[in-house]
Amino acid sequence: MSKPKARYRAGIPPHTASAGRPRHRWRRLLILAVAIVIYAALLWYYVFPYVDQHFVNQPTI
Amino acid sequence: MVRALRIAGNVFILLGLTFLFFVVYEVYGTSAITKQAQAALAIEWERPLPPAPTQTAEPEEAPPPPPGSAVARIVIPKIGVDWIVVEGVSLDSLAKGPGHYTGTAYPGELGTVGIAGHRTGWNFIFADLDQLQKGDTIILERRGGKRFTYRVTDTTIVKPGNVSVLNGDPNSSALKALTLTTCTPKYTSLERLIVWADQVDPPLS
Repeated sequence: MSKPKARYRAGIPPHTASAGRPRHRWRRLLILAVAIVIYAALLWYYVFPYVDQHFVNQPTI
Repeated sequence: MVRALRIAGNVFILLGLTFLFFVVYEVYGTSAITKQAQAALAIEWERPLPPAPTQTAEPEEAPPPPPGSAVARIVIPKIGVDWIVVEGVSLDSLAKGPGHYTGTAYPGELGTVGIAGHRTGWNFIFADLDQLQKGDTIILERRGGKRFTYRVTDTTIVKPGNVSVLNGDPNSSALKALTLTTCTPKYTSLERLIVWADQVDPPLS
């Protein structure tokens, strides 16, 4: 019997651990938070300064 | 099809948030850097100058101050400008405040003083430079308190790379002049806004 079917027959709602707690939700949130931080840091320190220098601010002759 | 639309929707949301984040960076992020640098420069500015060395040999041309150090103070009463000018126009120097073009004259010297400043972000140093008109006053102060007053003679817009503007107003024969440069139109770096001024006080002896 496949695992989801067994879980269904055992009365365990999908996407939860056997005790009924959300399964790995904290891990997904942590990965998402880390991804957001890395994305924001790349933008702030590399992408935005480049855009600023080349397209927005270049006051010198 | 639904999946593709969902992905496209998420991408557009991400792009929108990225753009908003960029606005935050330009308005607050860059300005915070400049404000912090200006606060440090103001302390440096108030510090008394070291005593001039006694002249023992032939006078040599003094080397320019190190990039990023305070060289002057610019005050433009009409547009509320009051900043410490730093040496050099590199990105690092301009992040601190308006920058003095190395190689151009210093306030009070013969020749043209060249100063560049950001218009968008970075504390919006020269944001309202386009409001200056003929006859407006610009004051430059050197360390030690010597003040030089300039009167705007003309403004113009040129393409980037037109370095001749640093020679001063072509229609003026003043021996001590000032050129301010910034980017224009606002929020772009397509062209350069130029403000020319002649020193009127102290008058040339």
